[in-house]
Amino acid sequence: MDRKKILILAFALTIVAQFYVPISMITESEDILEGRPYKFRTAPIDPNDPFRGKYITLSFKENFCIVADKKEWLPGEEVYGILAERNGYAYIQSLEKEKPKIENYLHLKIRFQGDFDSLNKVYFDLPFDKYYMEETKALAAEQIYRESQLDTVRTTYAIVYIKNGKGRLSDFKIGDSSIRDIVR
Amino acid sequence: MKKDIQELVEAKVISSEIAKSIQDYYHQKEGSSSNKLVLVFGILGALLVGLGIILIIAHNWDGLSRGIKTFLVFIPLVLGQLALGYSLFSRKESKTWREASACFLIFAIGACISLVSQIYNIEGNLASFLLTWSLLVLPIVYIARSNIASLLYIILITYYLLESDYWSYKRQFNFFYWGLFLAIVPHIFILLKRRIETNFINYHSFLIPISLSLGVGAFVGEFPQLLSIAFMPLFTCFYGLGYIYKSPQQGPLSNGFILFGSMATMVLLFMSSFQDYWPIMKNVMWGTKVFQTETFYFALLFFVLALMIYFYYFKNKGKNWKVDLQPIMPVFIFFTAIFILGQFFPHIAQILINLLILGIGVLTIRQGSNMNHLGVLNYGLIIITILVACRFFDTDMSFVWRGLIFMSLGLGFFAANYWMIKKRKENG
Repeated sequence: MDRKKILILAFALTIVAQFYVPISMITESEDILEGRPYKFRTAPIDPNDPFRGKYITLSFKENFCIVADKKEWLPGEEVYGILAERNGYAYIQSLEKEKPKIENYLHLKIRFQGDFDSLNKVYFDLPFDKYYMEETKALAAEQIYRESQLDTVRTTYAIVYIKNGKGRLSDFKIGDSSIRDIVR
Repeated sequence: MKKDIQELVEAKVISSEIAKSIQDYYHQKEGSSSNKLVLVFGILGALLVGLGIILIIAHNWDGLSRGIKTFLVFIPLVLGQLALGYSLFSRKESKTWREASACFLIFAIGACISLVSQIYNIEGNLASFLLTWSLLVLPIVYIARSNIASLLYIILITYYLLESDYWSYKRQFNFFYWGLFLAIVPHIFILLKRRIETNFINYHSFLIPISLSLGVGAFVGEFPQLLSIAFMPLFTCFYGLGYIYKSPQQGPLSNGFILFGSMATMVLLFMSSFQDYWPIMKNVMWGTKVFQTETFYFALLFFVLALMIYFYYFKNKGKNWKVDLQPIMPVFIFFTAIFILGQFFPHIAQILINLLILGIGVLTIRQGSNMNHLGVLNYGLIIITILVACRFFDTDMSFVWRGLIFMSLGLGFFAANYWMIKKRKENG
């Protein structure tokens, strides 16, 4: 093969790779939508972590799990959380080190062990904490989100589809209306 | 100048052929400098247009459906690919086209990935994004023979290194980073060998040492103390490399390898000249556990590499040991020997390091005076001044003595500079 043919082939392969990465991300993400939707209740936002751009930063109430011995779960460790539901909202029932054989689990990273209460609590970040919106609407949406956390009547929650340990944030709701409709 | 040449021809100082070749020479030189300008503006233009498109898409148009947004995200990518294809197959000679389109494509790839994750709310972390992006940039470096791509690639892999647990206590040997770096080495070799675009070489000469030193800094393992004997030969490798490809006209300030290598060597020497340094080092190298750390093997590797680089410099470059040996060059050998000695006798090691620094200072001053170079002369004086200042922290000398020593150092600065300027004037 002469130089030019090699160059054409190499160039074609790089183009394929450049398309493959984003397209596989899209198909994988679309695939998660075939999984089960869960409602995750949100918590008041950390005021030190304000509006960062064109998304709302969500924080969740169920960002911990009670374990037998918290010393077994080290910060930074990657684990699997088994999902369950209570009053229609999702929470992590237990943690496992090996990939579970059941469907309803979530791939998580341990953040820290709870020191401030007597329970054996282990905290983690749920991996879907950014809800992207149009630049001009995100600030208003975040303010509404903040105010809604003071409202004890309406619950705020995110709808997340989960499949094979991965989650995809699909909507964020205050009461029964989507934040997109509220800020429209 | 044309008038002057005309005058010289008329006065029969030079022949008309010589006049023509002089004019041709300057004409060509002008051409290459305007080419450079086109290259710079081409790259800058590609960068700005690319960033502009990305920002517009990043507005996250809620009015558009997800499908249309996804379609829009792929437009810059396809444009970049078309531009690179065009420059590869139809504008083969144009470096500007190649560099600018490669630059645009690289940003389009990064934008495409990050915007897709934004549109689909895909979870992910910065480290894995940077890793994917670097892997996609790597083939562009070789296919487009693009130097801007290789600069961006080095920045990306270094950023990736820093994002993958670099600052946490559980950081460990990052195989991916070293693999990614090895993958760019052939391109760097070709670049150094061809020596065409000195500006691109200069940018590389700053980025490479910074990136590699951060890479070595990621090994901690059980014996962080071993890092210093891995760093020292690495720094002198940079220094030697800098001298190998240095052109005679180039000053040391634009040669990142020499500048970084020399500064980093001195910083490490000064750190190890303190009293508290050596007791920590004592007894590190006992036991077989040391031989299980990657730091040890990298130290060995860098030591051999440094030896090879200097052997090549003096053997193949026709350099003379007596004339061309720079004071920093043999430091790694002394330092490693002192480090091993320090396992048994920390105090003697500390004294030897101080003598080594003093020696480098004196030799640099001598070199400055031989070269008739004020910068080098003052660098040597600064080394000795810092050495003295550092020792003030260790010792309980009275203020009067310290004052007297500083005064004599200051007078030394005046005298040395005055002497050299006077010598210059005498030599006309």
